[in-house]
Amino acid sequence: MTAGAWRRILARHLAGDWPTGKVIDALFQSVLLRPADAPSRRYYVRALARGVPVGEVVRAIHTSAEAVDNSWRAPLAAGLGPALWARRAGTAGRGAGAPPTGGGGAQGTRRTEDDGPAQVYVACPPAAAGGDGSGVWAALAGIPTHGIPTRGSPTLVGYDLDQLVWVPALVRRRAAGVVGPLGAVGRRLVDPSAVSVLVVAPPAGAGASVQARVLASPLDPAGAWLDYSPVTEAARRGLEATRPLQALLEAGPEDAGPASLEKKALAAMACFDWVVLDGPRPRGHGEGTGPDWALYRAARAMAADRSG
Amino acid sequence: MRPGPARLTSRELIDGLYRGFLGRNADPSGLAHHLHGLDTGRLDLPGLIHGLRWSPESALAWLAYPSVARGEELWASRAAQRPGAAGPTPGAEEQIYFLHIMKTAGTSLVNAMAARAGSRLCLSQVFLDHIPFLPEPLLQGAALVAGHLGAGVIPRLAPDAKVVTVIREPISRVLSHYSHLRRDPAVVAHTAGLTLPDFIRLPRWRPLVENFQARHLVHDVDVAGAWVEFSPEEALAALGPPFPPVDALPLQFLLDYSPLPHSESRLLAAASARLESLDLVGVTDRLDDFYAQLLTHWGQTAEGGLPRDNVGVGTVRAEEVPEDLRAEIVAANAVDAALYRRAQKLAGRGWRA
Repeated sequence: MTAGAWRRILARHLAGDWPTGKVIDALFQSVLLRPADAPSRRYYVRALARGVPVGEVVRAIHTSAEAVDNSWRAPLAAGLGPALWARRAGTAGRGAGAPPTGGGGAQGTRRTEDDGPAQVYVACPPAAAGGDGSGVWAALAGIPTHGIPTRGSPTLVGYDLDQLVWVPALVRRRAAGVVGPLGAVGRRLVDPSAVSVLVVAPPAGAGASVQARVLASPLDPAGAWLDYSPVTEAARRGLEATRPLQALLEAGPEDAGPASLEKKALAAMACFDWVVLDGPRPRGHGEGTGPDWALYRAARAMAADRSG
Repeated sequence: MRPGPARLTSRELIDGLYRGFLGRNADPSGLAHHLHGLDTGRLDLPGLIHGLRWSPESALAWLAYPSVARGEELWASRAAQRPGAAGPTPGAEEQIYFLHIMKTAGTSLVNAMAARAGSRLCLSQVFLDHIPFLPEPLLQGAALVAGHLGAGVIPRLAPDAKVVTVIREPISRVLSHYSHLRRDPAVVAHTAGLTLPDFIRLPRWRPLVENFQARHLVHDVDVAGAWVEFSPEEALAALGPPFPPVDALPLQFLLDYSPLPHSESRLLAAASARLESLDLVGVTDRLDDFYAQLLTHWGQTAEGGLPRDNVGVGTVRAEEVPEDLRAEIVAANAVDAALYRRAQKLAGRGWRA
């Protein structure tokens, strides 16, 4: 390193490297795609001077209403496009190197679909089922998913339905994995050829039904905000509206008695490629009744069949 | 020495960006990588911020933000498209896609429409690179989508979208494009000294001169395959150095610059067929009429003429151009000239039945 470079580094460390005004200017330009207006600049510079953590200031600008309003102009392609392309490159033997097709004007390497699954869809138990999700990855360990979840980013982990409907289809369908409390209907939003895994948790108590309700839900996530308002629909059913789609999903079908719910949930479960158990097996043989217990017993039987 | 309250150390800055964008502390290798970049000058402040904000991890975190407010805005827009109804119903007002060809005076039109939109959601200033990363509810539910997006984007929009465009007399469009390039902050570093003969003759700029309107009506760069079947960055790089100086929007540049796979006669046939299929066609010299017709789709009437924006100051006028250059522009725009003549007739037709 040259003497000039050392001097520059030393000067930075003695004085503090970055004037906060310049940091705010650069944040505005990158996040809001415009220069900082004087009042905002002053406000955030003073906040930093008062000791507000830098991360909080960054987050405030990053998640501001203006940033959300501008979100469709966000350069997501810059971050996710190459990652998705690299993931395709990493899926060895997937038709890489096919010649460019004519007429499109897009030259260079062109890849085509092959017959192998490229995504794993994992429907976790909802938080209301009582689990903390810690057992999900252990439960998945025995599933031969062709190494897909670890093959590369991006992976959508922990998204609920209110979030997933706003994820661009390109990302939803091309992510290595989609993992969340998304029930059966979440599959409509992901790669149709994804390996699907249902994680069933021990029932939260006697008569528990939340896992069955999620599985049996007839919700149409693709129509949300286009054909119906989840907020209006949640309000009509007396549900909380902070996460209206997820609330509707967890509320399950309307007017379904326990027997009907159990039947629908078991039918939905049968459509998954794999069913695994999350968390420790309940102690003893005392088991409850109700839809979630029926699901759990069915899942346990499937697990026993597989290990046998 | 501790930094003063008005300055941050590099470490404080990097930690803060990690916390703010990624919601976690910087991992040791990430911290070391970025510190080294800043210390060696390989990374500047905008590059550090942009790189962390639009890393794959941050982009995914961004996608996870709760979007109920955005949904309610869209639902309000959908309701506005069906006055008197509680929400969208069959037969509601269809989406408008304004296929905005550069330098046809469309910016005035888009701004005026946005001002009259009320609670209708308008997606404007959208580039082709944004399209694969736009959530479907927005793309299919917006009342107005406008941009230099060409025709290849139509399958991504609402199935019943009404597609409209404006065609301009080609010599004045080319001259306006030339003047615009010399003012555009994004490229002015490359174009400040650009002469009109160079603009018309150099391969680097030629795609912007030659039948550019026909290009936008028919050229399809396969948006659906972007980042899945091909890399737009690689495809743009494959075009070679004579092409555009800015590559932040590779798909957009592919639409504007990549070679057309058509002979002139096939280009004319394809572009003419496209023009005939559009739901409303206007011409720049009768933009007030087009605006008035467009507003009828929203059940509104134009009050006075169209307010003009983005009108080029200092645009070269056709009569100022030497005869030989004029002849070259004319020769390069035989298809666009035919399209313009046809558009003049279609402009009087109004909405296609």
